[in-house]
Amino acid sequence: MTKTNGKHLFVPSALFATLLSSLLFSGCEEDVEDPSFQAWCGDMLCSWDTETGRIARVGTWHPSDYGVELVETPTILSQVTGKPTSELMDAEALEVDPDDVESTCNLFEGLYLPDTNECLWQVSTGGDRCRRFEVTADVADTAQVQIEVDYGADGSVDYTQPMVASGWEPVSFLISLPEWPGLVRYRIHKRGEGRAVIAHFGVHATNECVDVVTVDERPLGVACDMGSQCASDVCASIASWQACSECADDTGCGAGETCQVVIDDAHPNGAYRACRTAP
Amino acid sequence: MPRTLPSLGPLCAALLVLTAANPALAQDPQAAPRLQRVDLAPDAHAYALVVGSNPGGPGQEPLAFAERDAERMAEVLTELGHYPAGRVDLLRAPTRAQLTSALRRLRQRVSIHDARGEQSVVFFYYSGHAQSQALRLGGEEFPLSELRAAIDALPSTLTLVVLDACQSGAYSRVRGTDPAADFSHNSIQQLQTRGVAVMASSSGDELSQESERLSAGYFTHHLLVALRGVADENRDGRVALDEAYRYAYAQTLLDTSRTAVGGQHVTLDTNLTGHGAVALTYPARASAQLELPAALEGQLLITRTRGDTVMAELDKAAGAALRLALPAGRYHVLWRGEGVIRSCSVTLPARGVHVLSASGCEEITEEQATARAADSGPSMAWGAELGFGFAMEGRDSDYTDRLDDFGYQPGFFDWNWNLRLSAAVERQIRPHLSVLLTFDSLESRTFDRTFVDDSEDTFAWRAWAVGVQLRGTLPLAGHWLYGYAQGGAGLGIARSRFNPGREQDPTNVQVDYGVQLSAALGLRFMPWAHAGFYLQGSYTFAPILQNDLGDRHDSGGVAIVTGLRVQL
Repeated sequence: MTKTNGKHLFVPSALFATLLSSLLFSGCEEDVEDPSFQAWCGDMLCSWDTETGRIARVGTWHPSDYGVELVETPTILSQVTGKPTSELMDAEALEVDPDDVESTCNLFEGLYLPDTNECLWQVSTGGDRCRRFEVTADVADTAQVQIEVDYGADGSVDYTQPMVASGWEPVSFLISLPEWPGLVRYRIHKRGEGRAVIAHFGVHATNECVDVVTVDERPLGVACDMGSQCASDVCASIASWQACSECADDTGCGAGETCQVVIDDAHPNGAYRACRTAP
Repeated sequence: MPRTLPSLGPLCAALLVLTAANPALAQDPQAAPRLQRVDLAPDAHAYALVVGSNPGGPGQEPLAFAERDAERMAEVLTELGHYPAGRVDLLRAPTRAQLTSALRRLRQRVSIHDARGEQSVVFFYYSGHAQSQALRLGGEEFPLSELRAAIDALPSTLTLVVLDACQSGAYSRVRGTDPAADFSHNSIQQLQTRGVAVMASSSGDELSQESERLSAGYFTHHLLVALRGVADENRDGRVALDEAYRYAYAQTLLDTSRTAVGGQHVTLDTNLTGHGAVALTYPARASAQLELPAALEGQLLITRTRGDTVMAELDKAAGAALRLALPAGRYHVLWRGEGVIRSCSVTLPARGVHVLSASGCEEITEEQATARAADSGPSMAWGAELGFGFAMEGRDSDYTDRLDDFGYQPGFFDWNWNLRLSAAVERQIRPHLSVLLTFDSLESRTFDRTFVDDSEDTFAWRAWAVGVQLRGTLPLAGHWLYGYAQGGAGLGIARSRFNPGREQDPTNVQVDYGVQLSAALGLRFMPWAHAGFYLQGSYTFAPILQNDLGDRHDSGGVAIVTGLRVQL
């Protein structure tokens, strides 16, 4: 309990639970939603994006236990997972009283935004940088299905591995992630002709990898320690943390612009600093 | 042949009681009263109270055939004695209260005829344990004095009472083993009152026996054979009381004299002054008869195919034809005579007389005859079993491995064993060989798959098997312990249910069918003639379940089952 501005500050139970689960279970949960392709919204998967091509719902060992067939060539299924470096606190979901947003934000060393009474806070600080993939599928060699991993979900594929899974025999393998926390986009990419049905695509955090991937081209919004780690070569302070940014201060900005904290859907890894016209 | 038993004290076995006021034991059948025709009206109302009780009292082993003897006596009375089926009251292992109630009911019914001035006949038969002063009804006693009072109170024109009182040995089943008692003498003396007469299966210092070979008490068996017509000496188509007595006396003595226990002499005491010969049965009026022609001679063992029941065993002399009234059906006759042994299959039509002839028989060897005779033991036509137990193994398969591959885990109640329910109906087709219709619940399995959002897919199935099996049975000890082996095939049925955790998807139910094979070894404990227990180990191969990827699951496996058995 902390006394602030003469008011007692209570940490709401939902917020407490969120923090606790983040600390305790960050390395144990399934990394993707609907790994068994059971949730269908019409002809599309509810939790996966079909970037290209066409998919179909088909039975696997049982007509009611579905898998996804990558029908056309090419077909790409993808899902963005992980947590951004920072995001706006969902005060309502966390049961934080509107009057307590500022004090709560201060408590967690976030950046309070008085104009909108919102709090920008750091939500991802680390965790296991290794993922175990468990795949059950029936993929013909000619289908040339590969797993693509996009660190930071910035649109650039950073890692590719063929999906060698036929006859529904489960296969398992490890992929290292970069040392920095952030979003990851997993893609299942069918590039050739042939049958490709996937029943399970599970991704679990683990600490079994012997190394981590060093990627010194972190996208905007990702936490950083120095500019050389960022694709933009700029690592700027946001609040209690630093993130790859377009600017560190107003020096590099044009006339009438200031180096502001920007929250941009185009860069989902978190807030970053960029030169914007002063309001 | 009955086994030799240690010498036991004097006792008796069976009594036939008639109206009498003058006690006079007739030990010599030739001295038995030659009775004239009875003065009963043709429409005399006939009633029978037939009682059989296998259970023994404290220190007594249960009898094997007392209740069966009573059943057969009731059958003969109905078939050939003109006792209407509705007036034959058959009590199996009754309590004292039930017997008292039956006697009271009998008296009430007879009293109605007496009040109308109508004649009536009462036949009372009892087979079971007894002590010197009482019948033994399991753990209870029924005093002879009470029986005497009940019989005295019957206002019938003619009262016939058969008491077959016994205690038993394990094999030859000596009846009445109380060395301090003379049941025969005491019962006759006590029942020897006005309106009552007695015929006993043995004299006062003898034992009575049951026969494994005949599956009956010696005396009751021969009395029944006599009543079926073999004892009809004067060929008048009726078996009179004295005729039945003389035949039963001779045959019982002949049979039992070969046993270690020794011969038993049937006794008869009557007082029918003013009456004529009492006709007990009318075999000539039977619709189905087996005639042994005049020229035929030798020893004959006549066995009914259904139930393998010995219907008659007799010595036939050449010179006169002999007819037996038997229920229509199939019979086997083992005929030893003229230096050869013949095996004859006979089918008695519902109406008509079948004449046995050598041309319809095949000659067999002594070994075959011995085997045939050995088959003439206690038998049953139908049996039913109901049991439960545990099934093991047969748990994991490519099918369950596939479930594991797809993320399913055994449910909380999916243990490494299953409760197995088993039921069977058995029909004997040959001695020691029977056919069973079986039903088994094979297994019940549940697998779950849980997702991050806590939704859960459940896949569960149950499997059953119905089949036909062939069982071979081997007696291991007396008539209470048997071993058996069986095997067969049938239909396996599996009903599976896929229940998706997401509400928008419906539950999917599938039914799979397949062939199942099964084999079993078991033990049957039969402490009672018609009921007992069984313990069985079985293996069932039932690859019924199959998934869309071609994996199969065997729902069978090893099972141990125990349960109850009844047989008729």
